[in-house]
Amino acid sequence: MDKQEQATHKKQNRTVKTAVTLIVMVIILIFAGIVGVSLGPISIPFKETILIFLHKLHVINYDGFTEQQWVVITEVRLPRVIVASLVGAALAVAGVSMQGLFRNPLVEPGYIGVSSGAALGAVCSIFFGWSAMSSWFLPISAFLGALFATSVILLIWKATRQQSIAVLLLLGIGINSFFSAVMNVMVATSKNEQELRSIVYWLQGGLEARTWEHVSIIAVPIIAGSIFLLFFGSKLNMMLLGEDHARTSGINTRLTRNIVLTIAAFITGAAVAVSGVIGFIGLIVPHILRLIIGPDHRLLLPASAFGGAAFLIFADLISRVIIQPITLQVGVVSALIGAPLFIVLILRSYKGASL
Amino acid sequence: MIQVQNLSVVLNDQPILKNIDIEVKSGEYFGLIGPNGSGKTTLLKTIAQLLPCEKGNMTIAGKHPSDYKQKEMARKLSYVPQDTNIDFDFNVKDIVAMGRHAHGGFFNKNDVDEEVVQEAMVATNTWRFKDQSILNLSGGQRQLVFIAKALAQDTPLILLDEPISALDIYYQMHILKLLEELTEKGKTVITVLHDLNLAARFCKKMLLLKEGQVEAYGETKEVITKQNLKKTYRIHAEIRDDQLIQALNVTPL
Ligand SMILES: Nc1ncnc2c1ncn2[C@@H]1O[C@H](COP(=O)(O)OP(=O)(O)OP(=O)(O)O)[C@@H](O)[C@H]1O
Ligand SMILES: [Mg+2]
Repeated sequence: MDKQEQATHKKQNRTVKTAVTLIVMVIILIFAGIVGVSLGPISIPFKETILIFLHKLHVINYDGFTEQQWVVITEVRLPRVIVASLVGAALAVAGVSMQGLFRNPLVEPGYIGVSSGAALGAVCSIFFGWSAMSSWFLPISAFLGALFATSVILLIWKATRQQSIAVLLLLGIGINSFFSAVMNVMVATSKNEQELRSIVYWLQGGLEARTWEHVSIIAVPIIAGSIFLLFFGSKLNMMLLGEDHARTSGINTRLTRNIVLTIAAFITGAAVAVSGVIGFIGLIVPHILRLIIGPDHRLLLPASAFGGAAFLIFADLISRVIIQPITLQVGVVSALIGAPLFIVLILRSYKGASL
Repeated sequence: MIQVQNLSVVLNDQPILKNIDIEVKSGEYFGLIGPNGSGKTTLLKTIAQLLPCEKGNMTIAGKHPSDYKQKEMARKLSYVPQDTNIDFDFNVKDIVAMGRHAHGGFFNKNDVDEEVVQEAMVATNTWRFKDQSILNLSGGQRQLVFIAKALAQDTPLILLDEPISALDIYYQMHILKLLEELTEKGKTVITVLHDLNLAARFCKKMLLLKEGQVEAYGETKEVITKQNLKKTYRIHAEIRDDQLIQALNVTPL
């Protein structure tokens, strides 16, 4: 094989790998979606679900379903599954982008205050009664909280001289504790139990009773933000070699960092705004995928989007069906799966080394 | 190619470099020498625009550094750091290919890139482990990979910080000769070296730094002298003209 042939051969290998990975991820996601829509207190056969989907998409004409099946699928489960997939995708994409930026596989969107800011925003809207006025107010307020917390952290960080990653993470920890203290004060002073319950409930992260309205709130921000981040794949790869390599190879590292952080905060904020705080997805999904397909962000970013979506659909499914009729919250399920994995991850890949 | 005038660098409120004046012409093989902590890395990084300079003036290919966009700069100069930490298992070829970033458009992949990458890897003898993970290489092999990355960047100016520190005697010669060939083709090489014999053998001009200041600057013969080495390194050395390789030979006594 001569030089050029070998080079094209190698290039084709990469294309094939990318295509195969993405096709597999899409299949997993579709499978997750069908299972997620089919299972529940009223089980619907997979075949029936697929036919109803195809009917809804106007691909075929099918009318063998009952009214009840149609309502359960299109009004109850489908929006919930779609919200789960959007939220999962957003958290995983934000996670993988930030891990690339900070050259650290243990970083999570929560570390720059996004989650706690969104949580505080949501708690405020319940505490002050805005959320009762319109179903849009809680997500909007969560979203503003996320942007506020992240901007505060980034502004303080910018003012520090060295702008080191460790300082940023410590600031995030500080803000997170402060916000959770403020929320505790609100919970302690809140007058009615109902209110308090809904705060705690929301904080654990849940996907109950998500409707098409929720889908419409987050779909555009999350899809647009995630697609935008996909274009940063090769830049993130180079940032992994460190600041000096990245800059002398032609990356404007400061600009890249600002854009990626802002978009990551934006999509996480949108996700947390409708789902509450769901931890660990941004950690586990990228980590598992990195083990399978390697650290190349050009592939890792889209794969994480599909993987995160599928993961959260399954986690939500587990939370709904595992100990029926009691439903766990998806945030709890995610933490139950994620936290042990996270510890294993620290022990294995980091051996206690520096952040 | 590079002009540095009256350059001073301050890091963490500490003056590190003071009043440096150098000029490196196109096609020159320029050596930066000096004891540990004398400021070689700092100077190289300042030239690579990785550190801000407190005072002084610099031009790269006739233009002020701030007149370059990041990508333009990366087409002018490449940089091999003294050490690179990496915890992510990229394969070797992907790392070298990152050197091509500045040459690509928005969808940066073309066949020229592939060829240049392969050429750089063959030249540094890293092609044989192109598909291995960077994490599985030895320290010296890794150093060769980062040199290959800089070569793939194909810039008129190449900055190297102790590029042969982890290499065996074969590869030390191999890399220094490779750089020599590049200077013969018109590229400019500025390299930090600790081995004075190798520096004297390959570099035509040199800068000897001591505590952030210029101790000697000029032709190799003018820089590598008994007195200069005594003042900067506090060593007694005999300096002889080695007829076999036609270069100065430094023997510490
Ligand atoms: N970020 C920094 N802040 C403060 N001082 C620094 C910083 N980086 C380097 N220095 C100091 O600047 C001086 C020069 O460092 P530099 O790394 O340039 O030395 P060097 O000549 O490359 O040494 P070596 O041969 O050991 O690589 C040293 O005294 C070092 O302590
Ligand atoms: Mg140094």
